[in-house]
Amino acid sequence: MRPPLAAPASLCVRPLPALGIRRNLSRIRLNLPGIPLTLPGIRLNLRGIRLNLPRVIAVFVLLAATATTTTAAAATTKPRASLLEVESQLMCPSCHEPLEAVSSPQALYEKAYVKTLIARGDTDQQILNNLVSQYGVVVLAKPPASGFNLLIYILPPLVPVAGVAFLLLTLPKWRERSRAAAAAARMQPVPALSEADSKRIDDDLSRLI
Amino acid sequence: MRRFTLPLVLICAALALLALLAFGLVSQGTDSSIDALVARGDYPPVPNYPMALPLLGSTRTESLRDLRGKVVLVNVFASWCVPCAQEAPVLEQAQRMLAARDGTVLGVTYLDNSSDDEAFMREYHLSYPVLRDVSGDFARGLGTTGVPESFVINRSGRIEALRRYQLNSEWVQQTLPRILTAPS
Repeated sequence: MRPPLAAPASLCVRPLPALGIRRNLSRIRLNLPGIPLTLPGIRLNLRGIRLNLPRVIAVFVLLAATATTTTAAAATTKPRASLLEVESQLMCPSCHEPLEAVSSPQALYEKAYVKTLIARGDTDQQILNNLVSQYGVVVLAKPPASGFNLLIYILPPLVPVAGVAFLLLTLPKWRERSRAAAAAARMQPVPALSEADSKRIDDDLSRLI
Repeated sequence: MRRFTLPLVLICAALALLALLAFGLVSQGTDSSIDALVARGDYPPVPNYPMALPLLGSTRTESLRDLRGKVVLVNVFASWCVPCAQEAPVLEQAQRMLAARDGTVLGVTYLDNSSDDEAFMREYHLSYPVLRDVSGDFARGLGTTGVPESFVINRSGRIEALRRYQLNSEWVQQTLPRILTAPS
């Protein structure tokens, strides 16, 4: 019968002598409760399961390689580009409108051209690259982030940030100023009522009460 | 001094945005200066004269400068443009006239793809060379706002006549012989 674990292995980080770690030049031996480990002396004995470290590493490497290959294969066997998806990323350069929104003669020719590229099996990116080589970068709905075009990427987030910064800078000053004005107003002596006004108020109150 | 810093920054930012807007408007605007100069008889040189553009159906590039000394009828067109198709036979007729007298028609495609251009050339049996203006810079230099537009370049490399819409054989017959016979 397997000896019961005194504690989970993850909790067994104790000072070296207590853990019973024996170390020599080539190996470290971990005597975890019920789990003898030998690192990197190649052999692990986990609760009766003997593991060969190079083999474990080899298996990991193999799994990683398989995952990479599978990802690459998935990328290459990407489903065919969809017309709607590609169109949404393109412009009609002659009318400066999104391609999907117009039916001008140029847009119709451009759409037909995109369809031929899709039928050929090109991916989204290949189609976009092809369109740029034919029509120039004006064909892209989202222009490349370089040169003057950078402004359209920088300005939209910059404006709210600048607005918030402006408010953070000015609001405390405004509040300080308005508080000072209110305090100054409170400090002003209240002008005394004239005899006539005082009498009129008394009369009005006596009528009401 | 500190109390003026923030207003100054705000004014500068507002001015920068206004300058950007002005730049955008100016760069989008149409340039009619070539038309005015040609109308006055003060023939302007071709903008982007040395600009090399890819030759349709070839890996070579060619520029107008390569055709210096010839009379060149530059026709900015696109395969999807109906008036371009209508004027195509007139252009082929002009090509025959020019080719016989040391000149040529030079098509410049604009906002178009090469496979459609090639199909267009085949469909209308056009024999003149065609350059592909992918960036549109060459056409913009000529003040082009649409297609078709045609420009006659004399032997000195200057624009002597232009037409901002579909051309016809009357215009070709009136314009080309005069420029072909003019001393260079």
